[in-house]
Amino acid sequence: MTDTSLKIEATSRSPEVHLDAANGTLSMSGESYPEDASAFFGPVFQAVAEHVAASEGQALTVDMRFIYFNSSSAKAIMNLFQMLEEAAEDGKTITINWYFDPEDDMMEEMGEDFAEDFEHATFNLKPETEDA
Amino acid sequence: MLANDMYSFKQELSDRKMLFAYSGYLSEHLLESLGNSVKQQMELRNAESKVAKRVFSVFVEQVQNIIRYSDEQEFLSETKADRLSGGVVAFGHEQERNFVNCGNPVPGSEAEQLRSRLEEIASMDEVTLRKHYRTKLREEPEEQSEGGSIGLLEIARRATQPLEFDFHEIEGNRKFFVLKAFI
Repeated sequence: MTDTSLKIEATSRSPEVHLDAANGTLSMSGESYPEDASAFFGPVFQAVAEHVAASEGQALTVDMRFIYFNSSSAKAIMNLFQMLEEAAEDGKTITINWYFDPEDDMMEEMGEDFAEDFEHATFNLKPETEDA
Repeated sequence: MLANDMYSFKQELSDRKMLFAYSGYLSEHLLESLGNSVKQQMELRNAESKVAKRVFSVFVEQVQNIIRYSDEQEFLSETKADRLSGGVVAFGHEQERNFVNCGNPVPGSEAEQLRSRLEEIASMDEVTLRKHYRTKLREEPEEQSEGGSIGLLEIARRATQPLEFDFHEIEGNRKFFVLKAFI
């Protein structure tokens, strides 16, 4: 299997991204209001799409832990989720976990907004306290 | 005289309940710095983190709207991130409410469309706003848009009262567009 892993370190305004091809996991965490959302998320989308295509039969677990993201990032994240939902429709096992601080109603609502219309991929809303 | 003049300028901002105001070229770098200042001032006031996040969100969307849609733009390089866009942004606190008030020139030809979009948004209740946001989230971006239509919805969702907006005729067949959000 080609190694399609990707690791991007967090900055003050862009999230940490880790695609672990061997283990079939993708995680993103932190804040996201990059200077140019398409320039930041484009390569991430590309890497995940390549990984999905190259890892037939392997399940993918996605863990999202955002503190804040702007509307351009929201569009990019939705775009990524739509691609994953399509892959799930084609038979891939995909689980998306949306973690949020139970006191953060904004991130909880956004999770609900993303979760709508998922039929093939599993989308879990997961409240998580910081010291858990 | 010099101090008197500058002090009255400072007093004018303070009379308008502005904690800071910036007029001139805005950039992504400046957004980050001003945004950090918004966060710090919310922290200083011991604002609830829920409120602080909403204020920050409105601030980012408002300033990015100026950067992307101001009719006065200069490019230091070809990268979008190096763009300089003319506008004015003020962050303030008045009667227990925070506000973000922004203005920038827009082409006269785009003003009417923007006005009707904002009138539509202003007429939506919370449930309708959210439904509309969910739809926009799933749509292919409009041509030439860098995400502005969903940005206005984000501002309206985070604001705690209907958005206020206005247009003022300026030279060059342009309008000066102002959007004020209370949180």
